[in-house]
Amino acid sequence: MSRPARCWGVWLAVLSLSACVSPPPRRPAALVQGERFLTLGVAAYSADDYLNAASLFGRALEYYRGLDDRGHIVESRIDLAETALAVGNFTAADGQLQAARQIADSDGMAQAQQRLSLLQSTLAIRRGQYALAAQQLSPLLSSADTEADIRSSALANRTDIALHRADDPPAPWLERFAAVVRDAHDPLLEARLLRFQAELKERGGDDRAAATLLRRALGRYKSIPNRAGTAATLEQWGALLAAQRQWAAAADRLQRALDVRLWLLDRAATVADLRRMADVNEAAGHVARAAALRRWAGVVAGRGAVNWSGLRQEVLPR
Amino acid sequence: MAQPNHEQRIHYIHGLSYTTQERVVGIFVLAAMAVILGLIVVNGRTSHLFESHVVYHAFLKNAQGISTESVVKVSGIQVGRVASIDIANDNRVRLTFYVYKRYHKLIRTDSKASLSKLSVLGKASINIEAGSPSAPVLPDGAALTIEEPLSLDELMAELTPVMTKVKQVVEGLSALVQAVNPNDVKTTSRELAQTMVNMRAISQQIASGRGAVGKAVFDAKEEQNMAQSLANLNAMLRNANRRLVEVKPVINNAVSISASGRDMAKQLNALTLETTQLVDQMNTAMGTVNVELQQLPELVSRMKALMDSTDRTLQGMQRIWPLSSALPPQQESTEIKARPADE
Repeated sequence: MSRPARCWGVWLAVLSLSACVSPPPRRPAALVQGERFLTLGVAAYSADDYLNAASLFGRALEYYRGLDDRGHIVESRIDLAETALAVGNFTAADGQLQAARQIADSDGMAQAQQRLSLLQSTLAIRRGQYALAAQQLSPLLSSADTEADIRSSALANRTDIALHRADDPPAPWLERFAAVVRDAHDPLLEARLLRFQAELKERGGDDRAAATLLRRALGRYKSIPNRAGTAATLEQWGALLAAQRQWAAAADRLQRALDVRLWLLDRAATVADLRRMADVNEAAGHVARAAALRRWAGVVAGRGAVNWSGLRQEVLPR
Repeated sequence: MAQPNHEQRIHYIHGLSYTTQERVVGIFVLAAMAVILGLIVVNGRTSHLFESHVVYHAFLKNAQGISTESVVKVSGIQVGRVASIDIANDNRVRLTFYVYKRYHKLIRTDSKASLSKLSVLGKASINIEAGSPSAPVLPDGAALTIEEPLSLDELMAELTPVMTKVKQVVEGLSALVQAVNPNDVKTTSRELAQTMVNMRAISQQIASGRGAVGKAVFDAKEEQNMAQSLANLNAMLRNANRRLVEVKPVINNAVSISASGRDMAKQLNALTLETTQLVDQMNTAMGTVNVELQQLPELVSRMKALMDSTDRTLQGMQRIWPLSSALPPQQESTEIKARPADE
């Protein structure tokens, strides 16, 4: 066959192929509407727009309750719990997790149960209940059926727990987590590993190596970008610098972390940052500023409304 | 010098042989093209593509809601479409629309056209009343007068004088009510009531044959006592005269009240008339607005259906090569990805 004829053949083949394409499958409108709420909610969550995310997940939950779609009810509650955890509302997260757990247990939803155990361990870690967190993770880490992303997150949580408990050596957990991270090729997990390694280096007295690892972790988080990870790294770095009595540098890292936390509207983390900043300022001799920071920490820790712009104006430099 | 090659050159097409595969592909392509042509013919927008039509013009003050998507209807049947919209020399909107030839006979010189009321909400159509068969057919290129519905602004402008009238009526009523002293009315009505009681007592006495007058009327034996009775009558008349003197201001008051009441009744009558007109006008205005508002839910539903349809079309296009490789379908997740604590 000559060249022009071959070209014509290809062109005709393309035409015939395009004519044979099937239309996308048509799904019931009731299912599509609920999924639209969830999809938009996940998109809002990914953009750190937790207010809209919570609203959309709430609408999805109401919608699925109206359909008695228990699988999606659990899914909506999991998303709501994630959102509540992101803004440091532990009570709301706990409520959603318990309600979801009830359905998942009674209907035998194995996958949802794994996810709920992971989230309950995260909630326990955020509350400082490390023994309870370890207990929640135990079945996830011992089962071979645990999904890959849940297993890797569970290992990260378990390493975190070990670093907070004196009687729990973190090295074995860190090794297992590092092995998972090597296969996962996930920049978020890689950054978390770097932070764990920095923590161990700091404990070993190698502050310089710890700072290098934290700088690398910060770079990873910013390349994604991931606000919560960025703030957590800055907080860890601030603590490292404070331990070295480098008050100005520590205050700078904590202030940057506070900026991110305020953007995220994470009240629990904001309170923690304000208290850390107060400690650093007090140690540096800035007593009045330390007092102002402690006062704001008390205001944010309370349940009342917070004048966020007032806080920014007083605490953060323009 | 070399002789030129005189061997006859044959076009490549004569050297091709049709394989079964090529024939199959050819059938596929022809079938696809036939389907496309069929769709073009069946499609609402293009079904009249090859149909001949006549063109008319119209001039409008306001072309709100009109676009080249707007349809032309006669007795509810779509007979054409708006072709173009531009501005005439006198700054009016010049509308060019066409009507399919087979409906041409419906458009007569006495046909009246109007814009649908939905033009206010951006969904207008041109409705033409079929003319009388005796009238001549409106020729191609002629201008047709289109009756325009009121815009929202004009509707509101129409309501303004009505509201002014309401205000005036309310003010007049208020002045009227303030002019009447409640104490005067109270005193007058009390005096009138007392007078009526006295009059009733007198008439009862006469009717029952009691008293001087009564006996004089009903008993003949008493005739001889007339002199005496006359004296009594005289006294009674004096008494009655005194009563009448007492009643006179009351009657004067009653006359005055009656006059005021007549004036008030006249004013109330005018007020009632104006109120009735006002209510009628408001009903008309609200009816028009209501018709427009009733279309809103339908518009929203249609818009949603259209968006869904567009989404589906785009999804379908994404499945066609080479778009499918350049634009892979978006993986939309409904669950937040599992993450470790502190992330």
